[in-house]
Amino acid sequence: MKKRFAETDNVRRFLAGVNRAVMSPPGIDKFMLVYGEVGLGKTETSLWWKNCHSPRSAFVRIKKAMSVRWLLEEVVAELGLVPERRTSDLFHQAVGELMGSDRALIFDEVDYVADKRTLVETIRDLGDMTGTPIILIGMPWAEIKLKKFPALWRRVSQVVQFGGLGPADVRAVMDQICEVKVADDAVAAIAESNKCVSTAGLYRWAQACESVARKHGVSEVRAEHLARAAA
Amino acid sequence: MNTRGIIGSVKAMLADISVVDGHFHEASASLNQILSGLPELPRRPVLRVLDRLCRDGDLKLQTEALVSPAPGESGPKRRNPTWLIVRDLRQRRDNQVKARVTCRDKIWGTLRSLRRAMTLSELCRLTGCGENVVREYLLMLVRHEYVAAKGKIGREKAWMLVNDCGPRRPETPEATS
Repeated sequence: MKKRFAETDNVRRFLAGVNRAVMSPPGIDKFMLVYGEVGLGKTETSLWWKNCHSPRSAFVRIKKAMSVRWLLEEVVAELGLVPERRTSDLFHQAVGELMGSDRALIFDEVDYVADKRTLVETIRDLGDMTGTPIILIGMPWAEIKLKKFPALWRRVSQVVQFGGLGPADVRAVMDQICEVKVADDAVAAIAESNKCVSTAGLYRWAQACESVARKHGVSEVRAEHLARAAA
Repeated sequence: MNTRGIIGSVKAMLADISVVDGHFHEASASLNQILSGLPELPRRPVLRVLDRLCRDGDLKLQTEALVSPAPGESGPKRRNPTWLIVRDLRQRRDNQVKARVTCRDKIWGTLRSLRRAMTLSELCRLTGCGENVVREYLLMLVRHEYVAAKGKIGREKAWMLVNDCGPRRPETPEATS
């Protein structure tokens, strides 16, 4: 199996959204919301984007018990600074480091704190004062929860919804990472199977296709091979 | 004074204590002992720098004492920990400004961010780094007890972060032969 990140439809829409947010001129707000069901690869896609396209960006996973000080401390530490003690110092550290740079802030599981007004408003303050792109990642209800904050929601210029994986995604992943050919009927069988609900599941299917091809000595995996292996 | 200046002064002080005739020896140092050698530095940032060195594995906490405020001072009792200096502080790379993010930084960041068992293939996919680079660094992290093997995912061995020392990847001295 080729060790590369497969571009599904969700990934392509994420890239389009994040590029629009990053490239937008001053004056246009650079907030982006990514939401969708669990297991569709939101966190992994944003990590891959950070690693490969914007390595100096900061990725912060929000925790349910987080306070403003804790959030700022994590942001400052992720930016590579030694956090100061006071909240105001932490805020100024983060603003000083981000201002004028193209480093993005990625907040994962943002719906955890969508009911904490001070935290949400702090994230908005960071975006307002630095003009840096801010990517918010959350569950399907993140959109509804964040809409309760009109001042923040007005700044969200890009919204990307991660949808379920269809036959086109299965075909794209198999073509990109699988080292054996996968026939259309096998792709359809994988797409219909209830084990194809997450991107991690698709990678496992690609691995399974290669095992089946090796076992049966075939160059193209068909649905019958997969059925025989499952039996 | 900025934090970089404080780290430099603290490192120099710790090196004074632990390096004898140009050779490193393990030695103990308490916060008050370090502060007495650095009278121009404020106590709190020095303590934070020392805590960070402890998190990075350069120092090992020996005792955690509480000292009453000096005559004329008020407030609660203050920490006065004693650390054992276990690594040669002269070899830390704090003074090097990081110009670029390396593959090792990406691997460490990915292990920290996902917080679950991951295979080598997953790390290659998410970081865009070569298989050999990832394997070499994973094994190094295992050797230094930051990462441990956690069963298998599919046919591949899974690895998990077991000791998180912060966003900055840990100092992992190369084995010299």
